[in-house]
Amino acid sequence: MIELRNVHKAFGQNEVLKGINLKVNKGEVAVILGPSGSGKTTLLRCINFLETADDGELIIGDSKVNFRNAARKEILAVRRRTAMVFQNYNLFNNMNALENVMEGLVTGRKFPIEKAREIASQALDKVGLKDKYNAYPLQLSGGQQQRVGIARAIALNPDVILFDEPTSALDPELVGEVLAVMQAVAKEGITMIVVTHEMSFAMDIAQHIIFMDGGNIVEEGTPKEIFTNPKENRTKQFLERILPRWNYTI
Amino acid sequence: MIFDFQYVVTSFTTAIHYIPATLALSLIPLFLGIIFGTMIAVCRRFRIKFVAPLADIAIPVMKGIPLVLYLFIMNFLIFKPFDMLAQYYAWADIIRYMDKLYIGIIAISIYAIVIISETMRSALMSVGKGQYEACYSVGLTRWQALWRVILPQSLPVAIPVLGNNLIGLIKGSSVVYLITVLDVMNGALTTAQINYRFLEAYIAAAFIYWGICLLTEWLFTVWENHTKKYQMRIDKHNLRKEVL
Repeated sequence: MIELRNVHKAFGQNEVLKGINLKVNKGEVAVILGPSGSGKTTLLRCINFLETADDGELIIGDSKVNFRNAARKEILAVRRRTAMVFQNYNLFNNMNALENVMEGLVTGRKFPIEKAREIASQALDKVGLKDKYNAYPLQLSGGQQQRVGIARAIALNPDVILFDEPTSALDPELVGEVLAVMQAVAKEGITMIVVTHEMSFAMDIAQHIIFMDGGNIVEEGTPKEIFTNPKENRTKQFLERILPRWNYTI
Repeated sequence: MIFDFQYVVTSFTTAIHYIPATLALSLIPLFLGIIFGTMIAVCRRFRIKFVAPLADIAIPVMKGIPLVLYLFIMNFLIFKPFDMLAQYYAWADIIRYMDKLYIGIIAISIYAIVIISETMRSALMSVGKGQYEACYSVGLTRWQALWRVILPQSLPVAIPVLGNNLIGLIKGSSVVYLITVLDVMNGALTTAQINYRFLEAYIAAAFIYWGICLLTEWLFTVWENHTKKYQMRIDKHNLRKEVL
């Protein structure tokens, strides 16, 4: 379980998060939707301290961290319970696929190399890259790189995986393979928080939709509630623009 | 006759014996520069308390001082007090045999640390923010990130510039003849002191420096391609074109 309480974040004068309260249950797939600039990515990055929020609390599992005075050790502890998949993959360019996945286990968590190799190869098999162990990021396509990124995240066996627009940098043909892998990960019962613009993914896979605008959570609920019967005007407005207007049912 | 090639050969054969001195005056500073320069650059990149603000002020100031002044300043800073001490304790022999080469090495090392810290800083900056974030996201500390990911990726970027720095140091080290250190330049001039063939001596020295620099350039190209090929797996035909 992961919970955020009253999270504030400002970049100079620009207030990006204005008191976010959010709770994501264990094993749940939560999707954060919203227009650009609404603070989705910032919220995600605050969860593993890539941005330090100005105020608020983070509860992850049984540990509780205050953003205001988080010590370096606490930050590291939180980071070791989370994993992130980035929009532009951010694989380690100086390592091949297998080493990329092993790095967090061997250097970060001090796993013995043999065990780390076993876990890493299982993770790579899971994302369908059995034959790409020795490929360097430069030799992989975008979709393959992102799948290595996902393997790197699941190998760590984190409490929650954060996906920051994982398909936005991919060309449309490659989006499918990444979404398929994410769907498989979701089926395994790993907690996921996903920022995405893939509405079909949100509708089909998510159990929890969070709609954000202007640094606030405007509305949250199950996909059914949000997509078929949104309560807030802003949500309706947003969904109207991005969803085709179905006026019939099959 | 204005120019006689025979004197070039004479100068050349004398000067060639002092190549080790010139190499010591450039390779030791390069080595110290890479170690301490990288440390300074890393401190500035990570904004380490006290060290980073100090380096921010000191490095630009020290960058603006010519090598020759480091040499003279070090000569007085080190040699004069040592001289006084030696006189006081009557260490006449020590002072007679104390090699000014060491002063040259110290002065050039300081200069090298300053310029190489800037080289390493730019090399560190060539590695994107995303690489750091990826390291942090898998639970590495920033020193682990530096050691495992950032430095291995900045090295191929730094190597060509380090090669240029070394060439600059080799050529720059020729000014040590001003404090009577015997290097290639001074060695070539020793023959000219006798036969007054200065032009030939300069040309002989030029040939030696040119040769050393050519070799350096070639060695650094080999090293650069090696790191790129084995660390980044860049294809052979793309070696010089692609950087990251």
